[in-house]
Amino acid sequence: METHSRIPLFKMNKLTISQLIPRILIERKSFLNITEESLKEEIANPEQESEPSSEVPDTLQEIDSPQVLEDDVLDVFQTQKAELSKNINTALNETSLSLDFVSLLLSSVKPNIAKSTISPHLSKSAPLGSLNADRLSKGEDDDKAAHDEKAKLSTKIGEGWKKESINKITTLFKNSSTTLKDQVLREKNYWNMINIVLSNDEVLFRTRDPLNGSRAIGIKYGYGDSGSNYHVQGSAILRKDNTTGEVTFNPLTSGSNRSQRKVHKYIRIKILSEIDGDYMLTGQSTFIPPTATNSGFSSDSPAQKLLEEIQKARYFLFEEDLFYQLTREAKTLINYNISIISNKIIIEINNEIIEIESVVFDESNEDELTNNYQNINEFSSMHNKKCQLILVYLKLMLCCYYKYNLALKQKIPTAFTKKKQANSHPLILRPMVGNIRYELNIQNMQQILDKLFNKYKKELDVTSELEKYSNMKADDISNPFQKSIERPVSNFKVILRNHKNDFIYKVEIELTTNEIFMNLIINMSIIRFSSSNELEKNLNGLNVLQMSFNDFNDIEECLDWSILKFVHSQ
Amino acid sequence: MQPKSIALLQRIDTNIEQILQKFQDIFEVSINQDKPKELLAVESLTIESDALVIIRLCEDLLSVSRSLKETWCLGTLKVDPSKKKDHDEGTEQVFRQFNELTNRIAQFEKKPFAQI
Repeated sequence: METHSRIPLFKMNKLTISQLIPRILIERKSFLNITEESLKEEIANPEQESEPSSEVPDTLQEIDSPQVLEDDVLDVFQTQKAELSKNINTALNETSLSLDFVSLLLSSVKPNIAKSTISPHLSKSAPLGSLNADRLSKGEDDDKAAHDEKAKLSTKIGEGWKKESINKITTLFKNSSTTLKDQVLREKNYWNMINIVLSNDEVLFRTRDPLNGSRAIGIKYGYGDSGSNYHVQGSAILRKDNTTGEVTFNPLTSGSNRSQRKVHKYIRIKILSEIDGDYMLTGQSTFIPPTATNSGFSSDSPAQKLLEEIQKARYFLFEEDLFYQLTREAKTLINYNISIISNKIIIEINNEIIEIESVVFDESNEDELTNNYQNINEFSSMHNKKCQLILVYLKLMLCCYYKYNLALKQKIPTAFTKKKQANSHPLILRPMVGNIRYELNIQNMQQILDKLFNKYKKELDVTSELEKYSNMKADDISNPFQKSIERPVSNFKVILRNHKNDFIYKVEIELTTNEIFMNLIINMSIIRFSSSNELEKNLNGLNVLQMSFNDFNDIEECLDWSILKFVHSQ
Repeated sequence: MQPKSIALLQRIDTNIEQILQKFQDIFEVSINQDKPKELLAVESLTIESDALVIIRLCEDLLSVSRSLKETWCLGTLKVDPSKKKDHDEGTEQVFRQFNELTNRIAQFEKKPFAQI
């Protein structure tokens, strides 16, 4: 602190540390070279101090000199700062004025640009376009010749420039005409193919290509609009080949496996029959390729190929949908000897096994598609036709289901129809298996009756008739697929006449199923008449029995007992 | 006429008019008599820009034709009255055939060993 003896003490005390340290730094430059000796020396003769500080600038000298007060330094700084800012302001003003002038000058040529740049003040005092400028030429007579010469030269240069530009645009025109021609050709190609697809009654729509987000035309080849609720919607992009304009067919797959090539699968039906305790293959359906629409093009033209591709995609989508719906249905039918093992639905019925299998389509493996190897003898192929028919039946039923869905969709949405829509389930497998079982049931019933009649044929006169599918009359058809939608009803009508006393039993047996086609329901009623006369008039009938059964054993027992009673009745 | 088609027609008209105009401009600008050097320089650049405008307008015409085709193909609903069939007709036949099909599926053939 003593080193700063030249600063008056009263001032020193007022300075804070943060002010003091910079001050010392300014005066002494650095603490680096200060030693105790040098400081002592300095204190001893403070007069020498002014010598080295003479090199620093004036302002510092003023500070340095102990005579000048701190206030003065600040004053000088303040005034100089004010002066500087004044100068800057003036310069700014001058610049904007000159810019204003330029704007005014411009206003006669480009009024719009001038209007936006001119200051409001000037635009008020001087109307736009009131200032003009022109190039001054020397215009002296003796320079006329030189001027002419110059003009001629500039014309020549201009000619060169323009020739250059015209050459340039000629090549430009040439090039762009060829590219445009190419483009037109591509467009023509593209729209031709689109038109072919369109005239093949396909549904097209505008969309964006998910690959690059560009505009593209999509095609809906799936059955979504026809009532299918399968999760694969069946949309594709008709992508344009940028070099030829040809259209390629690219199915859209939802989910992550976009790049993966689609594996086509088709459904194959097999029938295995039990022979000597072993199940042997006795029939198999063949793959019927999708019938190509004949568009009038040669078979290898790109348009024909495109149509075939669409057809193929649609065909396999249908097969996929069918198998999906079949498995959906089959998983509820495990109680009825129907099981699902990986990609197979297995139905066991009456010593036969019907297998519905989803098989990967392999174009190269023709043997498997036409199952040539299998048709080695009559025996192993005897059910081929039936397999084919089953396949046709399943497909028909899926169409039927689509139709039902579509009708639901078209109805006015209410809570009821919405609920129906949400719970709509296919009716494909059940009617098929149901009808097979039903047919078996009728046979069984007939056998039971025949057995009983044989047993009592000495005591009784028997007339029996069977009316199959009595609920399905051909005269009032609302739905041609009624047989697979409504449960079947068949009636056995049996008249038993007792030789002994001419009493008559009228036995009516109604054979039907429940709503899902699978269960057996038998309703039986027995009415007793005392003579055939009364039977004809349906008079004085006596209800003997009215019962429902779910089992053939029960009804056999019951019938046996009733007839026995009847035979021995007095 | 629909507003869209009017707009399209107008677009075609203005495009063609501009093409012709720009083409004419090129020839007008090509004259260089008693013009200062600066103007000539600007004019030669104008020729090039006019040419570019003509090319752009031609491409625009192509896009007009493209959007026209798109509208034709996608904007219309196809209803072919000749293809619409009477639904009731043939129901009975379908019914019969379907029942026949169901029966054939449901019936079991004779046991194989019975045939041999």
